[in-house]
Amino acid sequence: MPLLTMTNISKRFGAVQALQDVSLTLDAGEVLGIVGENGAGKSTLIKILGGAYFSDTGSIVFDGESITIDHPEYSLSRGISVIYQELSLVPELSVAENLFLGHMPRNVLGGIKHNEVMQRSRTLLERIQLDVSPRQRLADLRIDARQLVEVGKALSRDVRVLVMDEPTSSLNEKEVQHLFSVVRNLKAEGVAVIYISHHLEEVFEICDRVMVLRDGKEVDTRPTTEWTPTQIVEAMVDRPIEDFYPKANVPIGDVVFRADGLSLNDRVQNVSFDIRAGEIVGLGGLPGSGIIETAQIIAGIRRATGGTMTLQGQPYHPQSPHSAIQSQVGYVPEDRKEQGLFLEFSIRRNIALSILSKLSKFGVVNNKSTEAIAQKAIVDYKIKAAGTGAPVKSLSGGNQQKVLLARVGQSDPILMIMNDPTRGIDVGAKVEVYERIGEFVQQGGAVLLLSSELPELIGISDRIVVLRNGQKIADIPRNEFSQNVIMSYAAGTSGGNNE
Amino acid sequence: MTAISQPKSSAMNTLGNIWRKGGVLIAFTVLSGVFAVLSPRFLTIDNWLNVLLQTSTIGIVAIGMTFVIVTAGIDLSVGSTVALSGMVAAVAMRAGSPGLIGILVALTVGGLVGLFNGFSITKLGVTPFIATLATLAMGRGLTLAVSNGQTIFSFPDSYNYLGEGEIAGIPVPVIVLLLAFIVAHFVLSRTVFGHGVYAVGGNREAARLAGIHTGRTELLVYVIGGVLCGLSGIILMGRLDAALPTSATGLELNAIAAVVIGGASLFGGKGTMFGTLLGALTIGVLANGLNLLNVSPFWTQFIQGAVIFVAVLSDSLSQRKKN
Ligand SMILES: Nc1ncnc2c1ncn2[C@@H]1O[C@H](COP(=O)(O)OP(=O)(O)OP(=O)(O)O)[C@@H](O)[C@H]1O
Ligand SMILES: [Mg+2]
Repeated sequence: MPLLTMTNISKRFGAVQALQDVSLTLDAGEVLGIVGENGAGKSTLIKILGGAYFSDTGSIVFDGESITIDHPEYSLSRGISVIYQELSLVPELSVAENLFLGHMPRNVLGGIKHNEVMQRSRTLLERIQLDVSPRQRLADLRIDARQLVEVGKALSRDVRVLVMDEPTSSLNEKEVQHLFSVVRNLKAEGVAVIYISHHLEEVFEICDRVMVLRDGKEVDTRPTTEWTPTQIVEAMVDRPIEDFYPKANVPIGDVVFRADGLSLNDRVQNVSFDIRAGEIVGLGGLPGSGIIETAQIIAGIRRATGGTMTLQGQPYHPQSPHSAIQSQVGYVPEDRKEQGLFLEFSIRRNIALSILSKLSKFGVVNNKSTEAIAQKAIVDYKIKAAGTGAPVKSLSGGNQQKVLLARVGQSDPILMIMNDPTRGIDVGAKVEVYERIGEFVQQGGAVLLLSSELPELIGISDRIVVLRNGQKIADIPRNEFSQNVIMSYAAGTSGGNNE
Repeated sequence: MTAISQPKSSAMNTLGNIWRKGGVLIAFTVLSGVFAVLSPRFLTIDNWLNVLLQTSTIGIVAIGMTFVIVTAGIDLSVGSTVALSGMVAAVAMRAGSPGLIGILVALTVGGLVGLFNGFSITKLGVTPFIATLATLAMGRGLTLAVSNGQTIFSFPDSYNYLGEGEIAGIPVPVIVLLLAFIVAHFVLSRTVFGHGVYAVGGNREAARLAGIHTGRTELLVYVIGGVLCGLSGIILMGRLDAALPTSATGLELNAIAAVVIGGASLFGGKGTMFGTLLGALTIGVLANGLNLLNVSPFWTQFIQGAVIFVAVLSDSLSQRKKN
């Protein structure tokens, strides 16, 4: 008998039928993958399992017993732990406090049992193979370590079902492998895992069975061995995708942007490169290599401490993001929730924000043209939403990302800096984003691309500039691209001196 | 089987949401209904003009406070600023300035105090709470210093007109109040500046990256707040034909209360001028109605405090739900 059975689950939000009669079963020690386009209903399904949402219809049987999940606390008490798409840790607290968030071991007087907390924290950190002190502040950890702390937090209770909603959207290859080794250990202990991801390679690597959702309905569920990647994609998007990294043949024009000896203290040292019209330049490097700082300098977020930049032959010294935008340099930040979007505001307001001065006369915003722009963006970027007035927080993760891209696109940039532009968006939508980037360069635009996914960087760049320890190590042309070459430059096994 | 009931924990959150979605309108209507039944004098035009008149000083200050709170800021110095701007104008007029100059002086002093607040917050990086708390003390001290602790009496009619004049039987402060709300509503909801105010309060970092001048927007918000304090000071003085060094003490509490009761969030990014107007009127109606019913002023203050508590509570509850 399966450990968990969900039968005919349906959920509607206003006019959107997010789920319709979806059923699943899950055995102990099994990893079930759930894939589907943005807005297919994946997060909604597991939010119902976690007690965050309440289903309209359907039934749930756990451990042979019919249960009603009416509260997150109930799921936790049954050993069902959900790690949501948006991390739920408290950055200001210590690792230990985060691990036991909401159920600190306490003595009879209500005091915290410090020794026990430390002891158990260490055991948990060992289980997730994370080498940090329990006393460390979470805010000081890197994003991959935080993701593991989320897993540790789930393990701090007796977990029998662990659900992970896009846990790897901001992890690199090595960090993903670390997470997987933790998952494999849990599996061996008999924990059942639900794994949601847009990365099909990962799904094929870790899952025993894969369920495909489309428009809130179950398309098919099969053992992983009976799926091929092409079949899964076709089931997801309802059409075959021939080319995952479409690359238009664009003639390379004049230099649009040039950096000369760019420096930021010792984090970026004397970096020079240029980007031509029609060109997509990838900027590769490990965390701490200085690629993010370089992108931020160009976007006007940080001031360089040395070096010069030119934009279309003119000196370019952005004093602020505002002046960068004025100079037609657009920036897509990596963290849409913290740096990109206004979750409570409408789609319309989010999209129009950077071009308000264009949409207004004497400081008064023209509502009609704002609405028109927003409606066009919803169509152009295929944003799945109830309307332009819907708050961004009601959109699925991938559709939120599209709103962000739409806003940056509005300000008519000649140079676009994109930091993880396809984070959390589905395969079909990724292809659409690449096509839009392609159109942009075809019209003479220039792109600087940063990505946590090496295949993406390799897939659509014309050249890749690699930084290591703040220094430019290599400038690799497209015909020499390979994961190995780029990784060996980035990690320091070739080019420059080893550290 | 899944049950039909909603998760239990949401009961308190729902309270928060209902308040947000028009609680102030319900509260205002219910309150007015109760007073109308209990006191025959409540629904007369005279009484309503009186409520509006009593609300005018708080209401005008609350307009500025709305801008500030929507940016996720706070201005504790408004009471002192009202007193200081009025007092400096009074001193100027005692020295022979005409009424019109007095008005300009009051508005300018208010604006300068706001500029100081905005400067400490945006340029020196002091948190709004601390910065304006300091200005509260300094402003009151300056007021006492320039007046020598004395009340100054009798000003030119041209100055007092804003406080005690009437147009077609309607007190001028009421007209000023309503006009100010209309203009402010337009500025906050329709202008580029207004969109920026919401953006700064909604997500400061995202606003900066989207090209909003976050610092300039914030600075301006405190300046607007200060100028409106000056206006409020003129009205307050004109009505009494006197400038008291202790006037408007504690005004910040009522102004903030009006904004929060009106549905704005102290966490920023949310709030409307219409809500604030209703919030200010709710406070005014409460005081007026309880007075008509001969409730002791001590209890009036307690009941006002309780209403503020409910409003702030629902704000933090709906905030908690988000996290
Ligand atoms: N709280 C909500 N209010 C209104 N609509 C919602 C809400 N939550 C989800 N939806 C809608 O339900 C649908 C399914 O959303 P869901 O978040 O489950 O998608 P998803 O498959 O997780 O997508 P993604 O891959 O982008 O994360 C979407 O159309 C979304 O807009
Ligand atoms: Mg999702």
